[in-house]
Amino acid sequence: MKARLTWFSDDEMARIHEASLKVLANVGVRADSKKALDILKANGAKVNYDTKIAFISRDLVEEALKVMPKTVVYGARNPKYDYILDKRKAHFTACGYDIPYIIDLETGERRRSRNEDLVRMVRIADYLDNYDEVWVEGASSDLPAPIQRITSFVTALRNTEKHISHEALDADEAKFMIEIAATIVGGRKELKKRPLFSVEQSVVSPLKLDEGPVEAAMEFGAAGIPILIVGMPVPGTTAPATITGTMLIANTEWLAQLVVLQLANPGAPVIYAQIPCGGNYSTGAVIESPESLLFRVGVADMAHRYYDVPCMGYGANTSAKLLDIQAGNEKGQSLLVCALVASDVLPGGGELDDALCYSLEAMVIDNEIAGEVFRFVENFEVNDDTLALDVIREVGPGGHFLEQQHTLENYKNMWRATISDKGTFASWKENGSKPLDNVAAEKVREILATHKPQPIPEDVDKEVSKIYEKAKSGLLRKAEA
Amino acid sequence: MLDLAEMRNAVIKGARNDVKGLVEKAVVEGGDVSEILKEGLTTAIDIVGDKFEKGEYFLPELIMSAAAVKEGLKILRPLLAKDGIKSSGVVVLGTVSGDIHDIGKTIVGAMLEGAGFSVIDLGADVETDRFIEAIRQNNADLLGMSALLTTTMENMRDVIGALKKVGLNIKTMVGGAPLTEQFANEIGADGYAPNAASAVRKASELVKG
Repeated sequence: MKARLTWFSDDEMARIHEASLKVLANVGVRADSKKALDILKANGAKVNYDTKIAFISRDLVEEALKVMPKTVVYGARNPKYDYILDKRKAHFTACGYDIPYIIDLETGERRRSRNEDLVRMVRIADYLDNYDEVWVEGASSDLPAPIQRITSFVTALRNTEKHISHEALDADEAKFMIEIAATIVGGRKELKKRPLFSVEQSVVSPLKLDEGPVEAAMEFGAAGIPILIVGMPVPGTTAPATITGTMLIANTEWLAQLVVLQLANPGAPVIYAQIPCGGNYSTGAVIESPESLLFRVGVADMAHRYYDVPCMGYGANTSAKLLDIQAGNEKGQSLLVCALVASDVLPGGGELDDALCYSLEAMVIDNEIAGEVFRFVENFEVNDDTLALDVIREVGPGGHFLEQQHTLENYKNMWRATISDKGTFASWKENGSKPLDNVAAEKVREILATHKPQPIPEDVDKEVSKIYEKAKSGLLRKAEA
Repeated sequence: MLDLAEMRNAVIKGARNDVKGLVEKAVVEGGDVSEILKEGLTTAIDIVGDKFEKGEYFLPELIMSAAAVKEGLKILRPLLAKDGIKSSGVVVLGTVSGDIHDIGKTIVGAMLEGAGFSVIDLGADVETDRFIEAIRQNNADLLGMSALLTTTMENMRDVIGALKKVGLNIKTMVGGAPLTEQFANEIGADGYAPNAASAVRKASELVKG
């Protein structure tokens, strides 16, 4: 990257870190999981089992930061899609998870998302160049609640060769997911080396570690599955009504979860995935706002510059309910900011309505915006070849460059639109005067008609099915109990 | 007739210590308890609600004012009860089992209290049995349930079913980001509200009706 957006000075970051340590030591965090409280207590934290509050000392934090990996490997079913989160480049993906509503491609109606929508969504992300990994975006609402996530997990793995990302709400779900992924990649050792999936495990602001997600995270940590430690504090509702105060809550929660996970499994791969957001002060809901963008920069600062760990941003997000000007504006701004801070994990593709709804057309449009933005932050050289003095001498005043070998060799570095209209009015009219979302819809249909992702090899898929059936009965039985 | 303008202003400004002091003073000076409630607190919170609807006030102002009213009610409640005057209604609130998101529910609770309801907030991750126990123990008029996850919102269905099974004839209302009116109807809830302000209106409707 040529330029990088940063916000905090070194002093300011140090202050936020020190303030986090004060909160951890004096205010504490609440962990609803006995397992988490036990492990904290066993390692010297002061724990009150009645209030479930744990006070975490500086030593525990410093030890966790020491053993935490500084880069994270993302593996994929097809090794050509493997990559490393190294704090230098943003990697775009869909938004998620389990988004309840989808805009129907044919009718334009907003309805509950079903497993078949997820199949389409995953295939589209598998196809589009700028989706480096695939978040399991749509909810499989047509299925019984206890098996929705394990089903969408298997569905996603079957419909893309890229790395996928999902979440588990308890340790049992986590175990099944690990078993399935290990089967596909060729065993647990291989899975640890090249994790096929990553998971988002949430904290609840302010300062609460949720029982199921924390215990699932401990399972994932043991298996070497990268964990996105996520929370969404909002200024004034679940954090102080200032940017800095909200960053403090986010940072403290991240450190707390980090300590638990590194104590449980030293060296567990983690990502600084806190995503504080703006709030709607009439409803209390989370919204896309300039503050959300400020937080993306703040998080990248703390993660990359202070803790030296990969981070998550959130781009292509919008509060808009359909693909209108508000959507375009908000998606453009957020993607640009996140590209400028190299958010290692950059979800948001396909999003509408603050992640309550998604659309396949939006996935295609967001792919385009991402492409533009990534081109913008790409490095370019100033050297003899790029200065091209010889070529200029050859062409001379009033000449043109189209006949030059140098042009033929270099012009493809310039961006070209895939769906945005950059032609003349006449050609646009001739092609049907289509607004962008219509063009995107056509592209969606084209992709769905022609792109078939590589399936999991048949013999392996048979094993996957067996585990999936076992998982389904296990999870359904547990829910009845 | 008492001059309760100062008390009303304190409520509108969200100055809870002032409200506490002024209510104490009014009671000590022998003011009519119903009048203090109506002209000092309820009228004021209605003005606050009005400003909220107009977009002049937002959640922080609303909740500060509701907290101020709550301070006043702490003093007035026992006195009103002695006079045989009840609260606007008794509401049991909770986020359903498996879900620990509670900010939305907490906002609704605060606003219901501001509107004179007696609120028993069970917190988050509440099992069906705990809801039933709290409803029975408090003779509740209304059950309000919240969920943030599409998977946990299904638990609301189970709770409503359980209430029927044990013969608890109580009104129910539901809310939370992934919910819709359609879902609420599907699961047999008596009411749905998309935000805290309309939740208060809906609650009043359901308790009266």
